[in-house]
Amino acid sequence: MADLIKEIHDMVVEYKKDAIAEKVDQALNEGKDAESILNNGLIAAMDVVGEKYSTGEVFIPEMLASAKTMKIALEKIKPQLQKDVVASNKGVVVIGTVKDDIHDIGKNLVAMMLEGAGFEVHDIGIDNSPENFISKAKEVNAQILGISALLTTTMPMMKETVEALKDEGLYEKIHVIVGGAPVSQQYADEIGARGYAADAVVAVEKIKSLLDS
Amino acid sequence: MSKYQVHFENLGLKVPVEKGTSLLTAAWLAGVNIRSECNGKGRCGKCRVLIHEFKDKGHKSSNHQFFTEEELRQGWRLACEIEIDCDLKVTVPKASRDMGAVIRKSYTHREIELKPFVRRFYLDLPPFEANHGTGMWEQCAAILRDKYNMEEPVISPTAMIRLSNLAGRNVPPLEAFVSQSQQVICIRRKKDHPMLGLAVDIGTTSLAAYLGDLDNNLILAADSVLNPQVVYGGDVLSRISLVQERPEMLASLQQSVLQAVNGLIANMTESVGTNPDDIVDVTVVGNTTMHHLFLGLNPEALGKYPFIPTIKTAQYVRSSLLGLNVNPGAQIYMFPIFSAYVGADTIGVRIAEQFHEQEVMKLIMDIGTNGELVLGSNNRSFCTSVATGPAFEGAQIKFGMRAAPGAIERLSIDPKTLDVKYTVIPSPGEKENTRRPMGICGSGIFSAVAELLKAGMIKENGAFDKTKNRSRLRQEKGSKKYEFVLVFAEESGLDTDITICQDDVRAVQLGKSALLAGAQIMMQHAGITEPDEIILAGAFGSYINIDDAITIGLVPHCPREKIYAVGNAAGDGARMALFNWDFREEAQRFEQETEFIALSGTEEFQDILVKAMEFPRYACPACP
Repeated sequence: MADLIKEIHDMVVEYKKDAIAEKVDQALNEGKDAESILNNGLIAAMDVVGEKYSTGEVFIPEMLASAKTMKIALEKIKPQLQKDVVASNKGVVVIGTVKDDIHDIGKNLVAMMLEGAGFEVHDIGIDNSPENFISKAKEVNAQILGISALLTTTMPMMKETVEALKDEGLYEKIHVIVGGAPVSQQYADEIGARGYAADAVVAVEKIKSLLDS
Repeated sequence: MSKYQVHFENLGLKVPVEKGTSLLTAAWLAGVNIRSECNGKGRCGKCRVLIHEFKDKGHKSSNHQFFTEEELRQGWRLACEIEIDCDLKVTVPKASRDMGAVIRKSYTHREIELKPFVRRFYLDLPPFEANHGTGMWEQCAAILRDKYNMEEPVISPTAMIRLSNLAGRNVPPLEAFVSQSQQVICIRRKKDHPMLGLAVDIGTTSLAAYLGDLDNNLILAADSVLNPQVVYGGDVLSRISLVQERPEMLASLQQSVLQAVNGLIANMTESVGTNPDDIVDVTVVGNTTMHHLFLGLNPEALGKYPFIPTIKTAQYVRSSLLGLNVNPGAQIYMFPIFSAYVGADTIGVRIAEQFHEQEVMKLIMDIGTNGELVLGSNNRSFCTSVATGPAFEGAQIKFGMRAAPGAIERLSIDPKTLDVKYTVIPSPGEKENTRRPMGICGSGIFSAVAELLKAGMIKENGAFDKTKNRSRLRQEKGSKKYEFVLVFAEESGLDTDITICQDDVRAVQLGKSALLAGAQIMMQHAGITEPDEIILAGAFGSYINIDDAITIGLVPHCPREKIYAVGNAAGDGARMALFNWDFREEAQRFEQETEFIALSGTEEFQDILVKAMEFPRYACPACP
């Protein structure tokens, strides 16, 4: 019985994208509960993938393939999950690329890894004004705002977004985490972001620790 | 404001600076070239210095990435993170100093048919008499019209000033230099002055200039120098963001490059015994940001979506407006540009390669701090640009450095013993391989990855294969990731081993995948599966070993003998347009006929890019 969940787990780690849907169906038919598939199959698998990324064993292609595999499984079990189980488990994240910037591959990867870790993720895409970030964060009651910029020239928009959050009185309530090639911990400190992550795996860890503290 | 003194002890240099100045800036002010690939943003970790008797007020968090607790206690810091608020004594270790980049802009000999934009015309004015009812210029213009069939010659203000010095009853024989657009650049006493032209290639890292004899179709001199703007940031975006943050810096950026070009002009004219005043025509190529900064145009819009250049079409700008030390009436021809990130330099390459004359599909990969790609035949062409990341310039690579003396530029690894043989860039005049290696430059990093693949030490997915010979493979200090030792400390010019680490391999994967994916998307648009020829150009593209490029899959599939590197083809394009102005018209035609393809933000690009990160299967014999 437990083996079926282990199989799902391994399929995510080995990114067997084409076979996972059938396996999840089988598990559900055999009476596995969705929450245990989520926690012991999917989330546990993405933890393993994250660990492998940290040790340099796998890179973006494998991580992305695993995340996509996980997402297929997640869509399958979602209708069976108790309402809000995802959100109450981990937290709600709004993520997007700043205004005047259209680079999104890194941001997409972070969004997928967060989903893989059990967060409720709202990806608002590219070229987002501070107002966009804030209105979405209010709408979904986010605890985390993930802001991405890939250009030295668009980095200042991160600061503006943090400032806008302060003006709205939401700075204490919503944790801002920043990332992107030109961004550094130093820059994050400078603009008053709560966290900086150099890659998608670190982003997941950072957000977890921000919410625990 | 209070001033403090910084004493660079091991170099014997002192400099007074204002409170709050960064130590990195202080070093540059003192003439100490400290390395900073990230433009003082605390990211590259190259500007390590030792501060003596430092009253520490806590250290910035990012220092932990680059220093151990012990080093921090000793006083090791990043120069860019120290804001000066007291007198300081500092040691700058050798590894943190920029030993001067090797300027690798040489030129290829190409046959060019002489058809200069400016020509000379002799004017014999009749003696003036009282009540003649005419002026000097009107007499000259009459000759230009009657004898040389010009319709409406126009005199420039500076030519007018010159002419005024020759006015009088008896005018000596004159010569006029007139452009194809009938602009009179200069009228002067007829002498045996040469008619000279200048071609300039403004690279992000280095400037190259060529002095040409426009009477005899000859290159008289060539010279190059580091682009002085590098102290403001290694890549174009950091210079754009500097202007964004401090608008007054635009003038400094412009002046620094103009002064450097003037320096090249002075050197070259002096070396061949001519006068800058004899230079009556100038052509300039450069990427879009260099083009904008040269003209003093605000580059901010180039740094933001949707990345709009101020002007794309070719322009003639009077040299006196810019303060370029050539004949003040000369008009500087600025090449057209394709887009914000596919610049005049790429148009220069395209002209030099003249692929409009053939039906074959050629792919130009102009690789520098970013990659500019053009794919086309006579019928249709496409262009795009990709970010190649830091690997190509040696930045953010553990032992990366610019292509300067001491850099490993090529290496080979014996698959059985894993012995590493390497070539180090010598100083000018120095014998090859007498210098101890200090780091690895871009071509060396690609060479290392290619050799590691061939030796089976790196798998197709880019991970080190830990099941193989572990004699040089080890875990990085304080990390779970692995690294491969290229040079042991005994042989290196540093006091540590020189290694290539897992993250370095990943940086190569990111860089090469962007180029390959960009090329693949253009090939899709053109409806072809492989190009007929591939031309590698640019500061990096010219120096990567072609076999290495094939091994790591930086280029799309194409027969080996159809792939070639062309050196500084952008500069060649500038020279061709100098000697023959037909090429200027062609440049304009390319600009109009080439379709720009935007890559970012499409899901298609993401999928192709991620797939392109893998190394080709054929690269590693051990792969199944």
